[in-house]
Amino acid sequence: MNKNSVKDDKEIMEMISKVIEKEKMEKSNPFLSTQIMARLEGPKAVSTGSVYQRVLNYSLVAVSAAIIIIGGINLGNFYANTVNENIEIIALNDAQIEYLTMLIDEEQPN
Amino acid sequence: MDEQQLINSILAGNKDSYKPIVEQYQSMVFRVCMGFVHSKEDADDLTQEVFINAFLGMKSFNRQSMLSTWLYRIAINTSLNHLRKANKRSIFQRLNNFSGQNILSSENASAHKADSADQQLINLETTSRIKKAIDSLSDKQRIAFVLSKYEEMPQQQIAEIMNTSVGAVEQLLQRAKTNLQKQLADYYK
Repeated sequence: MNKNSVKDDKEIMEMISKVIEKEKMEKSNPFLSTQIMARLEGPKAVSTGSVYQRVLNYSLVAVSAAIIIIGGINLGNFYANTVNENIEIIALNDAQIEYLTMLIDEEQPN
Repeated sequence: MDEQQLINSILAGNKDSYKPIVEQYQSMVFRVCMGFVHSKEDADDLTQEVFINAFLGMKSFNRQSMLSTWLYRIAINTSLNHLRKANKRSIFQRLNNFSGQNILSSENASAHKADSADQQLINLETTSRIKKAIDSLSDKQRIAFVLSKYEEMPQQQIAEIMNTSVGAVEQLLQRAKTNLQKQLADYYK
């Protein structure tokens, strides 16, 4: 480590110290204690029941999401079943029905 | 009333007993927050949040450590949580900061070399660079650095707050110093 780098490092640390000293001179809000006490006294002060309230909120969101998902799946299945029935009706061929009937008649014992 | 009596009074439901505690430790908490956020307005908000959290968590204070030690820990955690949330910036803000840094580094680098140390301090860009260098330290290095430089705290007390050994604190401070020198030396070359 040469002399110049040591001097640079020392200057850098001195600059850092001066910046920190300047920040330390800042003063906090003189009305802070009053504001804090007002918040603690106010109606929006957080109580010990907030944990249960949050759990309840999360549970309601989860249940709502589950209802939506299950409802969507059921709706989709209903639509799919309806479409399949229509396809089966369309696919019926009278000629095949007659063919099958002839086969069945042929197989009957005398 | 002494501190223990005030705490007992608060736990008994007397909120007014909290005001003397706030007034006693307000400056201390503010300085710690200032060391992390470098902004008076943010430090004021965080200080308020620290004392609200401390009041609400007073039941969990087991009195095995000093109240000041407990408040330091809350202040540090609150500040770090604030910084983590603030760091989730939009990509556009990051791009703006990136382009700003490039312009500043190219235009001001040569000017810095010619100025004396006192003139550099007046330069807001220098101050900003130093603050960013401090912000770039790891969480543990930063905690040790802030407590050492902003609170002028002995290493033993820092070790107690950080729940670590004095040797570990010494290492953290040394690494912090080395990292800061390296970052700022690269900028001023």
